[in-house]
Amino acid sequence: MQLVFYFLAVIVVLVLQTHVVFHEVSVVWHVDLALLVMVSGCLQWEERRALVFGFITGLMYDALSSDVMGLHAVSKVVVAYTTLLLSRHIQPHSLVLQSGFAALATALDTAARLFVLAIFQSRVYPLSMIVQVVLPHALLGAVCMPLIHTGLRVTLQALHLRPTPGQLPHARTP
Amino acid sequence: MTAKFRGIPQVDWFESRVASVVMPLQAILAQGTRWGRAVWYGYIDLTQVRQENIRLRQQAETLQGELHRYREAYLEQQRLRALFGFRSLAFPKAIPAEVIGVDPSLWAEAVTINKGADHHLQKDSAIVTHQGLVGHVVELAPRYATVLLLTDRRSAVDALVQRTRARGIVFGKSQDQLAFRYVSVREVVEVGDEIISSGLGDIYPKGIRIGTVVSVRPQRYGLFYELSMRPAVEFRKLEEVLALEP
Repeated sequence: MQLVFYFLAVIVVLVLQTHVVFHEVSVVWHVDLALLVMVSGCLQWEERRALVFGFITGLMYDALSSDVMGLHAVSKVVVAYTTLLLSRHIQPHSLVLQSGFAALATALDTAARLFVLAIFQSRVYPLSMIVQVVLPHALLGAVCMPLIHTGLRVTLQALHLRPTPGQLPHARTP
Repeated sequence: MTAKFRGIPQVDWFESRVASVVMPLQAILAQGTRWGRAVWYGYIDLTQVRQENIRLRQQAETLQGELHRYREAYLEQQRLRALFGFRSLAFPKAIPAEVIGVDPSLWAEAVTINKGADHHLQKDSAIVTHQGLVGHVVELAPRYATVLLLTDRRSAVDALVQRTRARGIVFGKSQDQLAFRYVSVREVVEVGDEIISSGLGDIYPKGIRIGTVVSVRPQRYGLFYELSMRPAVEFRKLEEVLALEP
């Protein structure tokens, strides 16, 4: 049930992210909320579940994007796997660490996509353009992540959704 | 009593004394009553005025909202009139569509429209407005389509300078910027020249406005100009578009 809840959350944030309003604001403010929801889920699940969640989140993203199919799926899986690796060694309940995870995830997601685009489509973006966008995104992600993670946890508790067998032990503490 | 009955106009000592004690108090009381009444009625009036003020303010807000809706409807009607006027003149079979979403990817300049294969749209259908060229359909679903805008870095359109017919290719540069490349330095191009589609490529019809030249710089040792353009279409304010048959 938790997985379903997180998929619903991803759908909601994707609807928000593709709203027409975002066409009028600068690309600097286009925070990848779906990525933050995905990282929030990956911090509390075991490997297979987190990777599948990351992959399907990426595919949903690809379905709404004009980019080549699978681009975001690859980048999201890379982020999910990195999040899993890092969350094994540290307790992810600290707000500061969550912010750090979000900033790292944002940068890694962008880097993975740019790498795939450069290798398979020969599309290279100017470095100044990348830096101008990635830095604010990482900062915004770091700010939004504790809010999103806490919001999702509170909603889960309010809905009385119990931890599922595939969940990591440290996630059982509220 | 006897004196009064007899009509003697003399104030009784007792009455005068009582009056001299009571009347000042009565005066004070009357004054207090007037003051209290004034305060009370003032409060009541104030309350009523306040309530009326709230009511009038709500009414003003409601009217403001209605005015806003009417203004929005008027502007939409103006836009649609321009769009349909353009359609009836240039492309009678064009399909009107609305922009319903944007591409969530970074640096991707694409929008989603509410018409798709069910409405006879096809992949590579050109998308225009009365202002000029918008882009073309890159992904198609039964009820919606994804349109790659001219400003996307993946976009390239063969184009002409309207005044001199010099040929080149318009590329997207993201963030509402266009570049006009491969224009020979032997051609004459000036700031302010209008750039139109050339019709080559079988996607975009000939003669649709793309933008205006804003800077002209010949390459130092090259064969071509480096031209920057301002798009004819305000992509950030895109709401209604026309899809043309390919």
